[in-house]
Amino acid sequence: MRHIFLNLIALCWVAALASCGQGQPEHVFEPSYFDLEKPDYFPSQTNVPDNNRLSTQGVRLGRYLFYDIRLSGRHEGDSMLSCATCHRQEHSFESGLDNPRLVDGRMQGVTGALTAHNMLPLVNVAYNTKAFGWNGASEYPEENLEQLIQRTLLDSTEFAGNAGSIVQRIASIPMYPPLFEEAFGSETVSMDRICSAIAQFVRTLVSNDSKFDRYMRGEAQLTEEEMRGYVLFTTEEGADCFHCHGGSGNVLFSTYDILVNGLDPEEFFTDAHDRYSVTGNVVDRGAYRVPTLRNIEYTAPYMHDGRFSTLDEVIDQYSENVYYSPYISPLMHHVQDGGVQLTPEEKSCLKAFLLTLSDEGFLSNPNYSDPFVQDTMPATDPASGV
Amino acid sequence: MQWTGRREGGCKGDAGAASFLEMVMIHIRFSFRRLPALLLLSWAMQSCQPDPMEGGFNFNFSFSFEGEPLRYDSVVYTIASGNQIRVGNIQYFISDVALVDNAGNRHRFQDSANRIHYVDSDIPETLRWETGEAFETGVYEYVEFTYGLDSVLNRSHVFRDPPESGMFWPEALGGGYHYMKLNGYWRNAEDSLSGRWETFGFHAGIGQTWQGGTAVAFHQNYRRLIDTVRIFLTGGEIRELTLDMDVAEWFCNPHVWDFNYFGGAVMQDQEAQQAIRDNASGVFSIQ
Repeated sequence: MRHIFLNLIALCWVAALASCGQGQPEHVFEPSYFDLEKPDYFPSQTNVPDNNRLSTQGVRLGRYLFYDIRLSGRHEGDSMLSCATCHRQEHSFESGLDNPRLVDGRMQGVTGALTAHNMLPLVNVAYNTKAFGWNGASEYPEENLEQLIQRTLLDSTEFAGNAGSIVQRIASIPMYPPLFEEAFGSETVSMDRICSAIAQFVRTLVSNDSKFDRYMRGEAQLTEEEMRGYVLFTTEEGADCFHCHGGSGNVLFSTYDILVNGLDPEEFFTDAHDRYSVTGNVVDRGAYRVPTLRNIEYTAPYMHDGRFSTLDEVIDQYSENVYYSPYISPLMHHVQDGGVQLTPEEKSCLKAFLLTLSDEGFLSNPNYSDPFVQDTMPATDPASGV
Repeated sequence: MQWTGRREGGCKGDAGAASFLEMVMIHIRFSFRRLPALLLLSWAMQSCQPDPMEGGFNFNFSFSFEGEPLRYDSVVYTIASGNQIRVGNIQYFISDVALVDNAGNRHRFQDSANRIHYVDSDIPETLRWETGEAFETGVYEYVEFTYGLDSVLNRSHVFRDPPESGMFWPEALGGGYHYMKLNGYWRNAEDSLSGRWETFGFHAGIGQTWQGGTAVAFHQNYRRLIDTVRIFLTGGEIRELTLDMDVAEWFCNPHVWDFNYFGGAVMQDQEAQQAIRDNASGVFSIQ
């Protein structure tokens, strides 16, 4: 008798619970989370935050937003801008010399104003756990890609947007609310969600299949010239690049440190946006972040002000044109000689090595391309392409 | 099934209907079911208690110049050779730390994660090392450690992540990692009016013998060091130790280091590496 009574109560509970859901659509928020796939010689640390893990749906939304010029809205002069207007895949998500918005090494934002600096390529950004931007104004972990993207969208020299209008505009585009629902569990559009989704997509932009990667994996051999260039790259009496730009032990090819690199004499430290502008410390006058050398072949113009158009100019700079200043990085060991003084043959070898850092597969990876042009998203999971 | 007993035992309405024997059986069954959990709880609580026969050691790391706290970037120091230097930053590894008791027994750190510790003057978190290692109570006379990494530990690609990965020592020079980077500026005292400095990377690691442009042999330049501590470790005590690096000592004993002779880049100079190795003996002290 007691069992019957209890069973009856249980049945009532089931019925009551079932009736609560009647007339409502089934909402199951189940994003497909994934981790970046990477070779075992890559860092294990990433800047992926716990509250913005990578998901297939988040990356998909972020990719659309990254390529959508409606993100900027229409400005005076019929100017519109997407992230990809400046960050172009064929240039390792740098501008490229043929970018119509490139003016004197800097980019024109949506209003025509020039950005403070040249761009930095968006490659292997997920592994940067130090500082973002040329002057490191955004420092991890206090700030992350999400905050950097928000700054970009609001910066008067870039998207020149305001949060309210961006959110309203994106929410009004019929394709987006369902994508937000897939990615975040509801159709609500917010700046946080926009930035989170774009950050997810940007973090999937991983380059790890250059010739040097294949050499690291034992799948390719460097030519004699490339190997000689690599030895020059990694020796103090050679080109002395490795302390800042890595090598087999630091395959990001940047320490992401912020240093004075001897590009100019002290009297030319007039940039109001150098590291000193962030720290107020005199040792940071004329200091900028070390950029990655991955895909360096495709990421001209070079230096924080985009002054160089070719790799040869960059190599010449470090070979013969290094300038002394009181706080030049101590890692610049050949300042007194004006540089590392490479012979023409050594320069050629060094350049040959630098070209082994090119990853053509990254530049044409369909998972990273414009989804509006491509029309359909690739069937493969983004995780499989990185 | 698991919940049946609980409902029967806990339901007030049924208690009167159940026989006394039934109640006792339910109680016994209930207690036995909880026994493993109680034992587990008891063990967990016990394991949280410090063993009265054990203590531990944490390390703090400091830098000095002739006994005074080291100041970076702008303060000018004079080293034994008469060169003036400014120090930018310092990074180094210590490894294979052991404490030696008064019977001469070595007590090495057991946790493999404690085999190597990275110290970086720019990263405050690295300047404190909470080891979590347990040591028997008693008297410890010495701390032994390797400055740098010995030939077993010093393997390329051990560290994939920054900041340690930034210490890699190129394959062409022997591979593995820098033992230390001490970066800064130097000049001769007579040049002090010019205001001009030269850079130096006082970088230590595996050395090479060169024939022409080819390294034909590699040399390990790490150093096993001993510092006196004389500690009586009591039960439950976590003793704080400070390992200080006196930067002046790198440049004076037994080799007086002259930047005019060695220059500012020494990774490919085994004579310089040997001098650094020899000078390491007076650099560290435990406080």
